[in-house]
Amino acid sequence: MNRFCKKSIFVFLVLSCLSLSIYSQQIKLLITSLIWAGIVALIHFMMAKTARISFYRTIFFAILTIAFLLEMHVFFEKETTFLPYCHIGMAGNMLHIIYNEFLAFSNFTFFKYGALSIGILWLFVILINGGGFCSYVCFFGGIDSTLSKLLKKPLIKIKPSEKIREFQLAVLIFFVLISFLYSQPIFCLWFCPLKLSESIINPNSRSFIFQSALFISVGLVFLIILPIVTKKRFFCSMICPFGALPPLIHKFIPYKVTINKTSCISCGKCMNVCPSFAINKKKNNKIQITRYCTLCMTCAGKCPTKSIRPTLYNRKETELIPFVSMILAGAISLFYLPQAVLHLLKVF
Amino acid sequence: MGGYCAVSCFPFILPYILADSKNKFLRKLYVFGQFLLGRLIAYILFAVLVSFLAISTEGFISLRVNSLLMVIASLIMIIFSLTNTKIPFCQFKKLGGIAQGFPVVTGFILGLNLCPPFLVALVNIIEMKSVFYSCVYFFFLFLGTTIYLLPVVLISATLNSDFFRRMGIYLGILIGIWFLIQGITGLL
Repeated sequence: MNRFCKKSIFVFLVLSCLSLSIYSQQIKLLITSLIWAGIVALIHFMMAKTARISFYRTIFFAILTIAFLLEMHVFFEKETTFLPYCHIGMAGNMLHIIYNEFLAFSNFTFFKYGALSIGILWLFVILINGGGFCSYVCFFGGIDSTLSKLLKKPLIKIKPSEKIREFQLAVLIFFVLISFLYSQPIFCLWFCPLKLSESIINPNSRSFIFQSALFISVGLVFLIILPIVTKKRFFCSMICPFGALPPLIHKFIPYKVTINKTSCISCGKCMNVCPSFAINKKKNNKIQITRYCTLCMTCAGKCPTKSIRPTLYNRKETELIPFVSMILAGAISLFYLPQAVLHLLKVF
Repeated sequence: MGGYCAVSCFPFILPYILADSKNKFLRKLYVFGQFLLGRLIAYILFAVLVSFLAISTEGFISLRVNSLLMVIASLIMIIFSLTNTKIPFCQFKKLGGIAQGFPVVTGFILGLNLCPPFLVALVNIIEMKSVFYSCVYFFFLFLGTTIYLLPVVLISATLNSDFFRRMGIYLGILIGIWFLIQGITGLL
């Protein structure tokens, strides 16, 4: 049995164990989640065997995104009365959360239910998966990644620029400062296009018009129109505050996408196709992949000399990127995809 | 009180210090000093005015006054940020000379901000009914709250590069737009 098979079986076993622990009392959901675990393992096998990581990742990511949107916006019936611990909302609200955890320190249940505990979980996710979270797991990433693949060629060509990604760090600092000033999750209230917690917008407030205008325009422009027209992931590269975190701790993340300097001919094709503005040319005309890389492997698919490879700490070539990412994405998707499938079957 | 001042003023002062075109610590201290000067002038002028006229607090507690000040401060911040950019065709670069005085103006406007600590101090000086003691009170209020803003300068001493300068410009534009929207919402 070759190594691709062994890794894929391992993926299936991990996700199956998780399914059994979550849905042991609900037979239909258990069966659906076990089937989904099998599909995830199969996709991982195809990724590893054919080395067409970007192609199969795109399909997988699109399925996750559609299931998430269906489950959270179409089929979700309960009225939400609490803020979701979404990674994007938490990133911008981190100072306020830390302050609240400090106040709640005397309460012994804070560790289990505290927002900071979820924040530490998200930090752990970044450490083990790096920017890959943006290319395999995040629902916003799924939307703009899928839409950026719709057209064959971009209608508007955007020159690769690291300054666009630098702007994202300013966005994170902005949300952290303003959320702390107002003691509110400003991204969730004013900018989130998905509006997972719809009850937190007060329709009677004067600022409701501005709030609505902002999240509609952010959603339409950065999440839908710009990705389609430019084939670049503008929401993930410019607006998302969580997306600014992996580049900050890039040195501690083991997975890197590396260019083989001896075989690279500096044609620049990888630079043009990179959807995350993560590849640029150095002063000596050599191509480099920066810390903003989201491990989507689109560049590897386009490279004519096959010089781009996933590595561990820029040294040894590794198959761990899709392996770890598929386990993580599969695990998180178990919480909504089986429900979405069952709801869809009821509709038909 | 000081903590509230720090959190309220931090988003305004940080972009000015980071985005300044000269990346030296003394220069950053100078920009910070301009901001503090604006605040001090505002505090003292306010103390003189209120103690002279002994106007009741209801006359000044106006959302529209605060909102108008916020709109002006945010426009100044956006213009200041744009004067420090290298965007071609940007007409704001012609204001480069005038923009050097913007930290003072912003400090002055924020000094006039009717925040809760300010209102508490206001009530105290109305009861004092003395111009001299009101000025002394507000001067020490200024000193006490300034201590909480010092970390801004100390942190910025380590942030000396074009990268952080660009951060300051982007932050100035973002925070300026945010408070512009808040100010306009308050005026409506």
